Amino acid sequence: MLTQATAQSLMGIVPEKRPATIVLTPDSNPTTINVFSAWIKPLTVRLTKDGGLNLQGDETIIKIPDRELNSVSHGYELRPQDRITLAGTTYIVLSASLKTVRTVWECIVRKELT
Amino acid sequence: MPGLSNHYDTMTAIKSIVDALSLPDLNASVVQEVAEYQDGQQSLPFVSISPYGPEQTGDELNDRDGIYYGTLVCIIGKKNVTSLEQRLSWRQSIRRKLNNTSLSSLGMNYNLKIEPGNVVEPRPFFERAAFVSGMIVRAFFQEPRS
Repeated sequence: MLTQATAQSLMGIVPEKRPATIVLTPDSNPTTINVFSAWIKPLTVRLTKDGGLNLQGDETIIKIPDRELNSVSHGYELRPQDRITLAGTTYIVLSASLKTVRTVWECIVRKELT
Repeated sequence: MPGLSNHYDTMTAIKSIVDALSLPDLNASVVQEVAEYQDGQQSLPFVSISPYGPEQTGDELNDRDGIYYGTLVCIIGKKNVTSLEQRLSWRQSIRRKLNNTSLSSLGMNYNLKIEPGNVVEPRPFFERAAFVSGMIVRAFFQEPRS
């Protein structure tokens, strides 16, 4: 049976973890949090059609360890419209789920327009 | 080359009209075959002008056919760089200039009619922090049967 302790130790073997800056917007006052072990799935580059315009998509998944997001027990949650900056690129959270026995946030994101 | 295609000439005429407005903080418009934006492709914000949908047939005369050519005019930019008021003023200026007018440089054109699209497309707004605002211009021509 997978426990939180096992899940957290398994995160140690994930390659290419990177620091990330997360801006949470639970209310009108944004909260900035720095984490050190985020990781990203390869980008899916595609076009989406909006109002007749074909717009580059770049939908992907970023994972954030909950123990780094909540290193002090603030009870922070990732929500749509929060921002994650990773390796100089800012991504917008479309949806977020706390997965793997509540140890890691799986965020579906799209790159901010540049 | 002007005179080959009324649809193409309509798009270049619309580009001239939009650029002549010299709207503040808006880059020159671009004629595209299909409306698209990929990151870094153009300086933002700009106006994309492209063919839209199929032609529509209109009133027929004894020797001429009425044709409507669709052109998508779409403003693309980042939502936080200019104010909403500024971006809406671009749209208002373009709509006012193009609606119920004729293209004097094109002898077979009788009128332009605007079909407004969403003022702010919601998906790019939420998912890419982008401002996408489009309208369709229907250009009515009476073309000789040949």
